[in-house]
Amino acid sequence: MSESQKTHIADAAQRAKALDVKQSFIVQAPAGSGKTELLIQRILALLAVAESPEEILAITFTRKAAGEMKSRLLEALDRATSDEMPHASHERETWARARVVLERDHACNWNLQENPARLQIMTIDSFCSSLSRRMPWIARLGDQPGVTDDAEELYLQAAENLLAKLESDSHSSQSIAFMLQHLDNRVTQLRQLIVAMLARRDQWIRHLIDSQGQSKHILESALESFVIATVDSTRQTLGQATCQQLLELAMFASANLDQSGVKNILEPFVGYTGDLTEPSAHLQWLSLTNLLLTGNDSIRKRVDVNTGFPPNAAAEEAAMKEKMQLLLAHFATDPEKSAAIVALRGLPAVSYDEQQWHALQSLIDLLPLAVVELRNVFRSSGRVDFVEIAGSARAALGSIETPEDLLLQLDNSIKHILVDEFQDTSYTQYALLQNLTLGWEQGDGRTLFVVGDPMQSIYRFREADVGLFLKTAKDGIGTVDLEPLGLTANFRSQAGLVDWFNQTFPQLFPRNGDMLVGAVPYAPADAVQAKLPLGAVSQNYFLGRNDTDESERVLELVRESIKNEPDGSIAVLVRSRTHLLEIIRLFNQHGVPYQAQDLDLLSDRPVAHDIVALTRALLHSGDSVAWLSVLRAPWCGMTLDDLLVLTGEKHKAPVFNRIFNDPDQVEMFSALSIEGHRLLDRIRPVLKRAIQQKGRVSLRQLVESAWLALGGPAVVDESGLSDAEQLFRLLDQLDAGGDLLCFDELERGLTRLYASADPTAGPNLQVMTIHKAKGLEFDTVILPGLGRTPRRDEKTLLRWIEHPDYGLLLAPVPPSGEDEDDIYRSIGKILRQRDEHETLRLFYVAATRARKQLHLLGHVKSSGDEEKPEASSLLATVWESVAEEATLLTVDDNPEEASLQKAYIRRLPAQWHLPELPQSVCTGDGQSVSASEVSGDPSFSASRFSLRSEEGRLIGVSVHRWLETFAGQGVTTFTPEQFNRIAKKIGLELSQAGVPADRLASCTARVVDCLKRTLDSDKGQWILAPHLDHACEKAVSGIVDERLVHASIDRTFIDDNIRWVIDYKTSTPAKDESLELFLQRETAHYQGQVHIYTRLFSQLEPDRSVKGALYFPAIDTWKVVGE
Amino acid sequence: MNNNSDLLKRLLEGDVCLTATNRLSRQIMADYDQSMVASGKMAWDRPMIMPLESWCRQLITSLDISERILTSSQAAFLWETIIQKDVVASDHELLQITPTARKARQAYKLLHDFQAGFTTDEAAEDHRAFLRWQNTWEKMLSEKGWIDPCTIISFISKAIDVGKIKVESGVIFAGFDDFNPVQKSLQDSLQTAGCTVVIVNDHASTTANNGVIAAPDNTTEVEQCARWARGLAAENPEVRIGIVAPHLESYKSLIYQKFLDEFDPAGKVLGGGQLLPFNISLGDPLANEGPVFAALKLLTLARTVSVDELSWLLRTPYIQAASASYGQRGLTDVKFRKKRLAELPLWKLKGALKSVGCDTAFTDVIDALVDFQKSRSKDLPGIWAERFARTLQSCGWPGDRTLSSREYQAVDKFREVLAGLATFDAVSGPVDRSFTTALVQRLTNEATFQAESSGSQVQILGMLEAGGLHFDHLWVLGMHAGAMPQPLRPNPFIPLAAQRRKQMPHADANRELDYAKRLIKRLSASASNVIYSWPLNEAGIQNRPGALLNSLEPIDLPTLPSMAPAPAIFGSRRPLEKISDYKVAPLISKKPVSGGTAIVKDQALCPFRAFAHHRLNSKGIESPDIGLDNMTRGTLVHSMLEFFWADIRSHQRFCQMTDEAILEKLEKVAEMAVAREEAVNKADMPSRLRLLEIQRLAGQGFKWLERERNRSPFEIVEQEQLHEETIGRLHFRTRIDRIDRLEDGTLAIIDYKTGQPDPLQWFGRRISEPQLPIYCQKLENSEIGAVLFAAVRSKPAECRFSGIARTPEMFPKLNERQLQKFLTENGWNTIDQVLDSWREALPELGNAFVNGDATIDPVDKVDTCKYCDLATLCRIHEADHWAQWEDENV
Ligand code: SF4
Repeated sequence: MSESQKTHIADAAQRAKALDVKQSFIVQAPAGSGKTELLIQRILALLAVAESPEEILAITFTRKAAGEMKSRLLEALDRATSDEMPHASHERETWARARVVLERDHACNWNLQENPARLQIMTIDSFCSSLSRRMPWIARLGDQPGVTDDAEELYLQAAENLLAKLESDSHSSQSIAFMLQHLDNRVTQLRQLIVAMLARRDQWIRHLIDSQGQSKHILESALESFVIATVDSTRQTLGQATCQQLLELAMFASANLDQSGVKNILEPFVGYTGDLTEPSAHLQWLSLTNLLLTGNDSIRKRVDVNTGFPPNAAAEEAAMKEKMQLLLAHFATDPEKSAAIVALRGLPAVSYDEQQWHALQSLIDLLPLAVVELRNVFRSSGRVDFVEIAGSARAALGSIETPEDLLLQLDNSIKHILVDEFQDTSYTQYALLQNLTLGWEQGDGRTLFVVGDPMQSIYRFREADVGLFLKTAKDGIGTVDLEPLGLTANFRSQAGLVDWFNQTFPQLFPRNGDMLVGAVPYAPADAVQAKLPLGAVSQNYFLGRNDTDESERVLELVRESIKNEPDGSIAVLVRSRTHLLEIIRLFNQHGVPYQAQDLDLLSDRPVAHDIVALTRALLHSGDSVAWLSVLRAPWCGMTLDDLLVLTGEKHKAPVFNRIFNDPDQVEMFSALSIEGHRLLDRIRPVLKRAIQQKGRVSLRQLVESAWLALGGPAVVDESGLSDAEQLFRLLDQLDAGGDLLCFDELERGLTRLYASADPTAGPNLQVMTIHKAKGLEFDTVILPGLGRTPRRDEKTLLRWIEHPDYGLLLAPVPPSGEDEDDIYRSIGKILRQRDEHETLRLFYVAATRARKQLHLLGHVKSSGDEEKPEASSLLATVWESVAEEATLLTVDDNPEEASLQKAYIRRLPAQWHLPELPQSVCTGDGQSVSASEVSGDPSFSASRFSLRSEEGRLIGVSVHRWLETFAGQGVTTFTPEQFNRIAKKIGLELSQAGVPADRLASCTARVVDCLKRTLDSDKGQWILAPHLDHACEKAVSGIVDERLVHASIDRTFIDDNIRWVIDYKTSTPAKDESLELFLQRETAHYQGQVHIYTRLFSQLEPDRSVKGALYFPAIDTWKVVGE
Repeated sequence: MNNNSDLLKRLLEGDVCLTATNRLSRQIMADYDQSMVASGKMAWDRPMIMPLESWCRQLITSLDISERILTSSQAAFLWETIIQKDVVASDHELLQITPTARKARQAYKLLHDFQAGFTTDEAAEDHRAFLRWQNTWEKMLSEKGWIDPCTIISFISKAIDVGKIKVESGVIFAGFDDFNPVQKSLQDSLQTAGCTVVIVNDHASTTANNGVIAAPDNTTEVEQCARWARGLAAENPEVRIGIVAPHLESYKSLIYQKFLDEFDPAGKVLGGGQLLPFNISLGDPLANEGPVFAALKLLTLARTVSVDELSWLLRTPYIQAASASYGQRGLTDVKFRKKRLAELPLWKLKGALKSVGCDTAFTDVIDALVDFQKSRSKDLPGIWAERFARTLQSCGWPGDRTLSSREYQAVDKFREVLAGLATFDAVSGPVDRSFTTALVQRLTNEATFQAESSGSQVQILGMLEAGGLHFDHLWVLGMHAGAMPQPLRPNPFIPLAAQRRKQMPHADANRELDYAKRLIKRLSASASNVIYSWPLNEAGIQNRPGALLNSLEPIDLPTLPSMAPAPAIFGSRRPLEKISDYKVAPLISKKPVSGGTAIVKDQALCPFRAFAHHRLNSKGIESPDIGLDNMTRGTLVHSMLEFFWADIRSHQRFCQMTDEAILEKLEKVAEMAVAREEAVNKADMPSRLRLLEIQRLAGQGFKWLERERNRSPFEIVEQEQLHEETIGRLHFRTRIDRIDRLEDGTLAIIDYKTGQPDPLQWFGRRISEPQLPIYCQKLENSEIGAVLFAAVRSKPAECRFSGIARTPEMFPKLNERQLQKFLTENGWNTIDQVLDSWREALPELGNAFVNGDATIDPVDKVDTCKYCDLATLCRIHEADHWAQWEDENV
């Protein structure tokens, strides 16, 4: 940054300070403030003084971000190699700093550019992985298992294993039974709830382990403190006088109610003698909400007989009523007071009832056991999730007690840690940082630098807790204090937009930060870009929801933008992908090309359905729907009438049998239409072949080849081939020996895959979720669907909050069929507040993606005399500030039932045929073969499976080896003692080779017997004798019948000028076989092989006569072959 | 083609050649053979060319210690035991024992190979754990007299030093990038003993013609590479082509697909099973091969079998009579699934299977498995192996189909693995069944299975395997900046400082850089034409070019046409024909069609659905989940209430009962309901679940009966009676849950629902809940006092009657606003008008079906289809295109 620019940038001083490598900072960097550049500059600054690059650890939120940061850092170094100073002033600072780093790199021989792996820039997940990989024992994982992104299947397995214990004698059985009863005996529901809990176990496990010892009392006192504190703060807001007044009025109303016989909503005031200030008054306070608030939490407008103020009463009573009405009117105009009253609504009782407590205990018992089951599943599958890795890494670090041990364990101590996107940090990550900075002291040269924007914390569903940002700014991390810095410059958005942000958001964001509900205040921005003449923000709100109308407006806006600025980038951002369905449909219909990232589910594509049907049909003969679907799919397209013939209305046999096994096929075929007959003739052989290949080839191959042969690729659209490829990959993942273990997995897998993007669309128009858009920017941003509400929170087994002041608030799921109890509900209320704050931030993130223009679209509902967006919609968060300027568009609120179109199927035309495909290249390159392969093929007939043949082989090997030893050593006789020693050795060898213990004696005996017989016989002695040019296991190669042959010959020598080539065979005649027959059989079997040996030798020694023979040591028999 | 005449000359003189890899041995052997053939020889002595390791193993047999050497699986097994024991002894937990043992073994070997060690002073806790294991191991070795296989090479050196082993010839070392200290000391020993030791490296000294290609992504990268390779191979079948990748594992499946696409397009369409047209160095685990997977499944089946496992067994080709009964077993599965049992104990399976017509060959398999699971003894692994083999035999494994060559090889290899179990007899005590099956599972996972390939012209290898090999053309994939050098991966069991001291691999950044440079130099020299490529983008992440390749020029390959079948077939497409045939032949038979209720119901929901379900007889197969499904729970409620009212029969008598009496009675009838369900299914519920369900039923019954109490008096006329009726051509058999006679003498016809009933389903032309309307056809309007759904729900507020009644006050909380509004809108002010409307609408639905209506017209486009099993058949997901297709003229 040049001096001149620095003066322009409002926060230049802060930026300069952030590069002080001796200090730790927490930096709030709002949207568009250029924090990546700042991070890179700081890393460069650190490298310039580091002893080794490994001292610096930079943690990013995604792998993509890590890659980008690394690239930018390396680019900076690359650019710095050139002596030419860059022109752009803000690049100059980076350039200069990078030059210093290059010098240091040189001096220390780092070779960063050639060895970028030294740069420790990574996600927290990969960092945890590398930690736990370094500490297999103390991280308790052992050598690192595979890590999976999608561990749903594993959670499911663990939950089912746990539930299976219901029928066991284990003590968990009772807890399971209780929870089942609690949940109306819905096993699958309990399973799903456990699955959901397992996925977030990092959040609750520490609480549950802690609460295992805790008594009811401790948990209840946390509740109580929480309730009392809330009441207290309400009381203070209302003030002493008001409280006194309230007490008086409530006593009055309660007495009235008690007399009148209507339900006394102020029951606790009956006979009450206190003064509403003591802590035990919370019950009175709670009942006051009934008097002061209506059912939907607004201040009551009038009181009546049901609230204890009967009409037409005496003067004194009328005065009381008057007083009450005045007080209410006063509350209604004071938002602070009314909020304080609303805060009391639904505060819990301070004790658990019996059922709740029992449920809570069961869960405290069960959930840790579910984690144990999960560990077992991890163990047997060899896969874990990231939660496990992070947990292990943290536990391992936690178990290291001194900084010295940490150093020994990791060797390379980390001196500087930078964390990006710190607003989305989770408790586990936060605790990890605490562990890593163990023993750090202020000013010892080690620094922590965390950057983020609390206003952009939107990953609560991934356990991000924005409260940790606030906490860190306040308290530091561990022993490290961080100085807060705030960036304000917005380099991205034009001044018009920044003005709008600065105007709108302060009204929406809370004034003060609050860790409990995750509230953060707005930090105003300073525009760097000049104001553009066009209107920065357009608001398009509809009265009543009509997705088609809204989508059409989106289309108009897109077209306008393209017209105004053909090269500009446009993004349509939504909260959830379902909000896009209509828009995408419209884009498609109007031929507007767009890029969609991970939005179209693969399961929405016909090609996916067709391949799934094909898979199911090929794997299951009984799946008639799949079979008919294959016949109906576009590669065949049989008519319904023909399908009727094939299924044989009368026969009730499954389609598969009718097509392949029906005895009356002729009759059946003749009933088909000519067309149908042709179609069946075409596809039947393909399907038949595929069924026969099942198991022999991979599942993918099985299905893909059938799909190709049927002409599948000829019936898909442009993205169909890559969609199909995705599906085939899924099949590869699910392959279980060429089959599927569970068909539902296929369906489930499908809902996790996204269809391929349109390969022809350019990058100008992009469609994505707001979460995906984080970190990106576009000229024009369109935000449709602001009026829509997200799906409601699902029920969880436990609700918990770690209250910063009062400890753990915990509530079990209420029993099925009953309403939520107040503990569960009030914890839910806090969680909902967190959600609401996050919704607001989500809107902030979406809006601040825009460089030039922002379009807001949404709908409101008219309820009574008001027009309002639905609660918890994005629009609801901004409504108050935009309502005035918004003009409502009307929609056609009664869209007529679009009548269903006439249906069609499509199919390959009759003229189509499979194109001629090239034949294989590479059919062999004359690789050598062994002699036994040349002479005979292994027979593929499935004999009865047995292990006996293996034993025979081992005996053969042993005999060969010993005969070789004998011949080599020239030994001819042994004493019995010597033989005993040999026998012992043979026994050990056989056992090592794999002869089972119970067979060892007999096998050893057989080997010894062979050896003895050979040594005892003259023939044997002759064979082993040291003849001329003798050898064992002689290696000879050569060309026989134009093929290259490699031979190993058991025994060969020259005797009497004859070259003998001998093969040992340890076989023996079968039970009732005569020796003659046996020899005939064996000769027939081996003569080819022996013949090759003799040919080789005659080629090697052309002048000598060569004879081949078989020797059978087990029966001491000799057979010359080929005579 | 071979440039290393020196090496060949030495071999001819009888030198031994020791290589870094098997593959290199083969290549040198091939070069040698070729030179012999070229020199006109017809036969020759084969020189000794083998991997260093094999040579050592061969030599050691001549020493007296050979029987004491453990196999590496034995050693691995023992290390696992040691670690397992240590885990228990230190009251620790370790997720992965086997891989940990492998890593620890690796550490042990490293220390041996680098002649290194470390002390507790420099050890952190992980290192100390390793020292403990090492200690135990060495004690064990000396106690038992065993020898660790990774120390063989040292024994050889020593034996050479003392003259026990004599190496007569010269020794050539080929293809080593690096020699570790023990290897160096072997060379020293050889030299001291008088052998000439020659080291051959980079044996091709060609002027390389190298370049770099940046591909947009991995897929394109591999595609380009495959086309390039095919082009070269097709041009000249003699050239050797190498494909190398630093992370071959991650490229493997992509390479496999794309190379098959390009090399054997015609074969790919035939489904493979032929010989692979290239040689890829990574095999798949043996456990994944069809027959082996099946064998493992049979051996590891749990005592309780899930419906998916059973289905798998019924479909596998690898058990007896599988092919012969393929069609029948599919049907058995479909029928068994209808029982909606998620799992069943194996021993109960046979009975349940028989009740759905299973073939006996299959139940024999079940018998064999039940038998097998009875063996609970502890035995030596070798004995278990026998037992496993026998069990497989009695299951008829590997099936009644002729085996393909690949299957045959896999079966054979599995036989080896099983037989190999006996090698553990020497190092293990008796073990139980599950331990042994786990062992087999692991061994088959570790054993790689390589399908046969038809030749080695194209070799696809990892970096290390390519050591010393020579090619005519070489392509190195995946060479982006992050690929080489890689981040450090030191062995976690040795202190890093110790590893750096000895320059062990993967422990020091500069050593890795240096190594990477040497590798690249070696690769660059190993062919006359080397291409390095890297993907710009990997899963959305931008890569950078590797700086080590900076000196190379980018090259532009000519765009070669793809041979891949899918694009070719895609290219052959023609405009598709369109058909709209949703009116099929009417039913021929004039006889009334049975199953009328279901037909009308489906017809109302969607005519195509009625057609597919009832004329094509096609239903999706069910996949039952654990616990009790909604349908069973509904049936149980029906039965319970039926039993409850069976002898009470009137409101008056009911009102006389005390709560206790009611509860007591409910528990009894709930039990009866469960028992009835079990009898129908021929399978008992697990006992605790059963108990819970009875409690739940009784509780729900009690909540419901509260509603009955507040009614005006009634008598029960009948319960769960079957009624038959023919309307038009459809025959109906409806079971009416209950008919009450009301105070005024009229009848209330009642249908229990455990879901949320919606009486709107009774009205309009699409009566998707037709039971009661059908029954009403039998009666005079005036006999009917009320037609009601009785919602029996777990939430008390949801327990209520809904429907129409002449005197609504008889049923507290009856009228729902929505229903009233609907009725008024349709001008139905009296119950009679409603009843009349049914008399019109029902036959219409029936006639449409009979006349062959198969229109796709779901009553609710979202919900009806969501729960329909026919979407793949009716192709409703193409509905968005119909309008467009209509305008197309083909
Ligand atoms: S999926 Fe929908 S359209 Fe298709 S048959 Fe079922 S209900 Fe009809």
